[in-house]
Amino acid sequence: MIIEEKSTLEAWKKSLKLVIENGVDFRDENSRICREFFNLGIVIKEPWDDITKPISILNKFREWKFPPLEEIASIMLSKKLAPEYSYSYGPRLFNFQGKINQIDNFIIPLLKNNPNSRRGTVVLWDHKEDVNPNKRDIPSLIMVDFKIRENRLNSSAVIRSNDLFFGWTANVYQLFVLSEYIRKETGCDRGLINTISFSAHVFEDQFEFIKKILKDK
Amino acid sequence: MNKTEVAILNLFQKFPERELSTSEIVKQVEPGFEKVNELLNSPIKNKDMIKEAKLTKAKLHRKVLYYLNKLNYEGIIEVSREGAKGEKFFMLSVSPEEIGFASHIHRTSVYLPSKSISVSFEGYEKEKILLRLDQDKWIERINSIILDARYFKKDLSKLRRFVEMCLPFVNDVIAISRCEEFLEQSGQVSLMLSKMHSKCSDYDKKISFCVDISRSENKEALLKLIGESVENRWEHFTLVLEVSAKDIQEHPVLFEKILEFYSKNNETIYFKNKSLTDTPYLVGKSGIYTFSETEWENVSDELGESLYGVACSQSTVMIDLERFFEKMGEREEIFIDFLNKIAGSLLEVNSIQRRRSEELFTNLIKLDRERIKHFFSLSKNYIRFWNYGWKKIDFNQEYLKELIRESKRQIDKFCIFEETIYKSCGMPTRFRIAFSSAFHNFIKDKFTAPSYTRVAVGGLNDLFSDKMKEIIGIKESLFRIFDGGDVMSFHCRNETSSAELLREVSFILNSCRINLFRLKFIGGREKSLNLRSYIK
Repeated sequence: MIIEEKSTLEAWKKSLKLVIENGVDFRDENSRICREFFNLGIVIKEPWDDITKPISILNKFREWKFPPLEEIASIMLSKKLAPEYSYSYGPRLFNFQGKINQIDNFIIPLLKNNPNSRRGTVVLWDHKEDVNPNKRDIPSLIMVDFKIRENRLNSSAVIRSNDLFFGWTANVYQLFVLSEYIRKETGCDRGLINTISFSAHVFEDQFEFIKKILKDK
Repeated sequence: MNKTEVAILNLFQKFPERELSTSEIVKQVEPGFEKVNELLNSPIKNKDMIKEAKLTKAKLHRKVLYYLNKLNYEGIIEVSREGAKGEKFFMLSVSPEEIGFASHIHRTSVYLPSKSISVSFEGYEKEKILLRLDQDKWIERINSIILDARYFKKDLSKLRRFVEMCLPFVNDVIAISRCEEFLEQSGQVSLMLSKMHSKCSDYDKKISFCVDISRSENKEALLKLIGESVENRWEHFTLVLEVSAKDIQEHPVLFEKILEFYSKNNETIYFKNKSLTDTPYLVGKSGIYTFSETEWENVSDELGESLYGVACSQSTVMIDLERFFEKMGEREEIFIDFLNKIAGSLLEVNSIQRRRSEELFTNLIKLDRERIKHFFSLSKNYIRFWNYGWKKIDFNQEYLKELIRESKRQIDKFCIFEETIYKSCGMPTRFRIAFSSAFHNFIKDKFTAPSYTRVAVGGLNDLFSDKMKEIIGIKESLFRIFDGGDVMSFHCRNETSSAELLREVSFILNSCRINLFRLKFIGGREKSLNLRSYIK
């Protein structure tokens, strides 16, 4: 199933509606009731106009506090792993296994020299670290792909487990921040953002808030 | 990011709709500007000084203009117009929420939040409704740590080194569990403890020693240790005896001797009922700390083997409930809203501690960098209540219990949301808040005077009275709500025989679902109370 929208907000709302109406309930490992929809693709054609809009909406609720945008972006861009985290996206991208800078030393030179390349893929899944049945904290964002077509940088992410209500809003923002970083170096225009979520889900305790958001025009 | 740049962005975030002139921006973001202006407008004219001030003013203008142009180039702000003398006016060209992101995509600097935050409860602090534990170092220190004695393989010097390295990062208590490991080295233990105690005293921190008597081979060493700590009045040292009714049956003489030590010296003795809980209890200055049973179980295999210890609590606030209700009225929604504000600030503090941990907890990280994430795997924050009315005459106890229970539900929900948010954003983070009570000694002179009735008990028989049953019943249910741990205090007269005291201890261990209790002994002056013991 693919949802394709011009704006981030519309794409978010449509996907939330889809999962609420068509998802299947189950109890997850933490005993939380979860409504899940398999293999959901979401395409935002012009994300730059309102990429932070869903986060702004989430920020209006008093039941939680969303992290500041800087902190969300920093997770994607900072190369160093904070000691308390078992993983973080930035180190996996810029310092994979402590030695490979997948962005500065691979994606950027590759796309600079071969803008039409199909090889612009990076992985965040580290089988050395993550293939461990006892380890609970492993990345959800598994892979990111960058393709320049018609001088536009299109970014796609594969997310194995995706909380559509909270997580997706941050994930697309992080993806956008990363693509801006690459775009600045490659000199191309902004393109679309695409996410493929194997398990797109929402939690039962989020239902009431999702309904409120869907009601708002 | 440069300081001036941050100051400019903050200014635009504050006034997102306004058009700001270069002069206005310079005035707001450059602290030196005001002084220069004062000099220029001063009635006493000094040519050299005026020349110098004009040069400085131009320099500040150029500096700010450089960053304004840079932000303009990056598309974060834009020139809205030019004034009469060619002065530039600027406006935001992104939404205020986008400021962070817009500035971020142009650089890959690590986001380091400020070490100071403006908390949403400062007003309550001024009203003396709320108190932060170690307000000045609220962010830079954590509250409590537990070290596992087994990790040190009977090497007392290594333990001492660890304790001393941890002390500067802790603002309340360091506990050592499984201390029976060390008791075989009787002479050395006392010496080492006396050194550790003196260090704790220098830092004004507490140290808790948790001993399971049934596991201790050398009972004499334990008695010696108790003797020294009690007779030397180690105020910063607390021994928590982990016992069961069976232990008392098996070693009555030992326990009588222990009780005698404490009663004769008017010292407080702590008992943890190990039949009810396996988790250790830490006795801090501000109150009790403990862990969740299930979580403790998950980490206990690693503790002592590959892990030297874990953090128990990061940040604590204390609330005077009597003053709160007096000033704000007894309205549940206001109270819950207040707690939500506290939870939001605790979240912010934890986030800062996490992001700046390399700098804040350098030595803790150095102790075992690889496993530091496990070190914080059980940590939480505390909200401690004072004068919450459970012993107040004519106070509706059911209302109190329901209020605290409902608040806890709301706080737990907030914590679950936050953990979900952070995890789904790619920041697997722990965020928990526990409830507990505050110790009188810590909050006296800051909060309202204790307003509860002391119920006198004249011995074992009084423990069977209906009033006592009711009090214990309430305390038992509070123990279930106060997931951060609690303690029940029994005040006993020092002339009570050890045999009688032991019977009381056995009764409590056998019949009450109270995980931790203490006997506080009263000396001669209190004899006029005409009671043999009473419950506080």
